[in-house]
Amino acid sequence: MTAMTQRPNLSKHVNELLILARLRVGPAHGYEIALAVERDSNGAFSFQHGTLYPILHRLEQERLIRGSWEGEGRKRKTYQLTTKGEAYLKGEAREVKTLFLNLIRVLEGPAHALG
Amino acid sequence: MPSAESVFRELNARLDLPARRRALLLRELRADFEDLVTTLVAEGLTPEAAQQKAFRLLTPSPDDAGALSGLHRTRYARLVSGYRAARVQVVERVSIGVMAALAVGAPLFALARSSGLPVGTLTVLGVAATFLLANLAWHAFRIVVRDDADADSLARAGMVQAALLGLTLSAGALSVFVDAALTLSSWEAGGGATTIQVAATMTRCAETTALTLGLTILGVFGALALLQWHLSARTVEEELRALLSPTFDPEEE
Repeated sequence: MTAMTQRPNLSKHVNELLILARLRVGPAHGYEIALAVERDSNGAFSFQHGTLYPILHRLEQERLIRGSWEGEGRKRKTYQLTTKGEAYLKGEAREVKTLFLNLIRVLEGPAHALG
Repeated sequence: MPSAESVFRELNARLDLPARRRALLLRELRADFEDLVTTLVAEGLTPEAAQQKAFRLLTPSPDDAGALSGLHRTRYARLVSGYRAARVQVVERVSIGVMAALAVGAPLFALARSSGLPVGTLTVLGVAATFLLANLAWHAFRIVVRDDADADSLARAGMVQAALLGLTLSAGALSVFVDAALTLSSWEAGGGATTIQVAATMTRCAETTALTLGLTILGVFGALALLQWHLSARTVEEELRALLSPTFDPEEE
């Protein structure tokens, strides 16, 4: 209930954080982000049917990431984390961690906590 | 399995956006799609399996295409999205027409009053100049604010601009000629003219000529701007065609 109140669309928020976390490693194209998230999470998280791009472009509009066109011949768009994005990721990661710890505590029950 | 071409064509149809914005989105998505397929094939997947995975990961569903359209809509498009498009366009056209008429009419009226030139003499010049300015302002508005001008309409606008430019120039020259001819004939009938009358006539003709030249310069710059916009729009449309073609080559300029 608390989670629902705090994060009305948790999966969307997690997707945002997954993108930002991948970009913390270094600049990447959209497809590299999609591939890395799926692989690094052992398939637990995956951007199905282009859910990636609306999130990427929204993060770009919010200046949490910066997109730039690069390359010879046909241009490719590369994204990188901004300073604002880095600070946002740090804060949100802390919040999500607390949220999940609380969730686990509830799921495991008071008996487990006492034990 | 559908072809990449058909998937991107469908996506292009779903994106409710001007061509320039659609081209930017499709450029990114198509390049990512092709690069992902190449990467997966290099890692050992068959081309069919690689393409299937790339479709699954990267091509937006109708909902996501809608979300992308929403994100990339211009601020103006968001502002007027609650009104009927046809009604908005009528308001836009009328507003631009009125502004052009005022911008041209005010100096012409002032000229007519200060020089004692009959308003009727300048009517043709005023009408041609109003349409010249309105045509240019309407397409500038479509480029800068609505971001939805297509190459064909800009080519037509360029031709209309050239015709209106000719009409403005002719109307200005005709105004000066008619004014001078009428004044001369009245002097002949009255047995000559004073130096003050000659100077006043010359000043009036010079003012009309200056106004005509000013409008001509504006018209020429407008025609050049329309040509430039037409070429840019054509480049975007060519890129869109290339992005949606079955023989898309990600390395091609």
